[in-house]
Amino acid sequence: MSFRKFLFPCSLCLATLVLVFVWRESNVSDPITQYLLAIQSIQRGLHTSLSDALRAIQDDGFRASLILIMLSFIYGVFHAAGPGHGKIIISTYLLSHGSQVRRGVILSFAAAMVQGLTAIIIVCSAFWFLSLSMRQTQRIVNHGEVVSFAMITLVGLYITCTHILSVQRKGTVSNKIANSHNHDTVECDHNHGPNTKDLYKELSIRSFIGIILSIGIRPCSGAVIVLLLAFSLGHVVAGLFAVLAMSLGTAIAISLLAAFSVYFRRTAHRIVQSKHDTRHLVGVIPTILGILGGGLIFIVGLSFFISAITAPGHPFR
Amino acid sequence: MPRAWACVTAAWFLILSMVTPTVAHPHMWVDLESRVMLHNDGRSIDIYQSWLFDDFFSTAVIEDAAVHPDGKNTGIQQEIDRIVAALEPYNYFTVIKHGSKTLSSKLVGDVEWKIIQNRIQMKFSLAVDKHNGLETQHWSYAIFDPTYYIEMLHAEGATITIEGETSTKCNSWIEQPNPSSDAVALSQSTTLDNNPDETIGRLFAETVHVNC
Repeated sequence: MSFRKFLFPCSLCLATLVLVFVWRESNVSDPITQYLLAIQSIQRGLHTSLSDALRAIQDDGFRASLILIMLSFIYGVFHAAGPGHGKIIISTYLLSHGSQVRRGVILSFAAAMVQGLTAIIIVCSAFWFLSLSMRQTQRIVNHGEVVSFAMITLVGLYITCTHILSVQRKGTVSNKIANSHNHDTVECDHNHGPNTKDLYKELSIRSFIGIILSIGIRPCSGAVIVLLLAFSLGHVVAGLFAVLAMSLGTAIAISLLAAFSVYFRRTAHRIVQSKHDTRHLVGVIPTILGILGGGLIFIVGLSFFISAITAPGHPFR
Repeated sequence: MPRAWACVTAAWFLILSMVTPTVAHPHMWVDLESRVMLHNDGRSIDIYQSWLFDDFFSTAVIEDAAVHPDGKNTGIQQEIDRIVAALEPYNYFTVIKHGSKTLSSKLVGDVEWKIIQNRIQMKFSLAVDKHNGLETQHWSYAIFDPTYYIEMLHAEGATITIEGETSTKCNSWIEQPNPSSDAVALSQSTTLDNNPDETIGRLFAETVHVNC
């Protein structure tokens, strides 16, 4: 309960902060345009401030490092406040699968932190073990993007297939019970195979990890460039803390979206339950939503994967 | 109340996810400067451009160039030559329009570069091809990366100067990007195709209008 009490004021403060910045930055009419352009503009400004802060560490060590870490945190929040594939996957998963707010937040935090750690692992290995240049390292990161999209596609496929199989097994098990399992009087302690609850449990843990890894394997582009410049300028420790702060900012922003998705689903569920004519659908809806959600994750992942592998060369990549 | 607020916000995020190109984040930033030069009584037009690359990209190029056997400057020059050659098929990320017609252009003179506070600046001019009988009284140009990998913008409040004999008769203004309505229709075009008017980059591009 205390967790929820803490979550709501925090989310309200953060959202207000983002909206105030957006309102200050924008002078166009349409709210979506206003929002998108303002987010881009703020990111652009932060990008310059991040490189300035990294350069300032040379002369003003500790203070500039603190500024860098603070800016990185803000960059993380704003980076996550814009559109992104990770957010689609997490919100689709949580909207289509029943979950607690706490689990949604854990999922978001884990995905964001894995993204930060991937950036750290790639950049550290490239610099220290492989002695690659900044541009060579960036190319490796670009390949990570393709792997991430492929994994998202597989996770989507896995979720969909598991839901379809669970419907089939449920049918088979209930048929078996109806047809051949009439030893009511005998104590029955043998296993009839996994029940639906077990299947969902298994599904959620596996797909949970799948989602975290598939999103996390593609490091945040902002984290990679900050880390690369930090390594290149010799400010390794400041760079590592900056990336962790950035991941924390991203994690908080994405977990808000996760929490909202969970509330959204619960509200929809309650509405369905409260109506007499739709109440009988309550048992079927989770399965349908699960199949649709998994399918959507699969389609999104596949479209990203195809566009990533078919994209022609770029003069600057 | 929190629940209603949560629903609105979730819907907002979902709408955002759908209307916007989700894989399109700029990874590079270029500060633009441009001006128009009129020659032969306005019959020929040059667009001068200066691209100031961001610190991260510039540092990466300079770092690579530093290990070049012929020295840093040769290394940077080679990279600039490579970029210019690679940009040619994309008309140097410049789309020049007269009404609905796209005008072609070509690079004139040398591409110059220098380093300003750790950032590489690249300067070049494009000559607008007017040999198709158009009286370009009102025309426009936009400089953008079709894939939106690079965000290319003039400084806030920048003005476009027009130089040349007939320049006093001309005026110019920068139209800011307004991606709202088009974004919905074009959200899936993530490729660098031959028609930059149907790409993500176009949605976030400024348009410079020139009226003579």
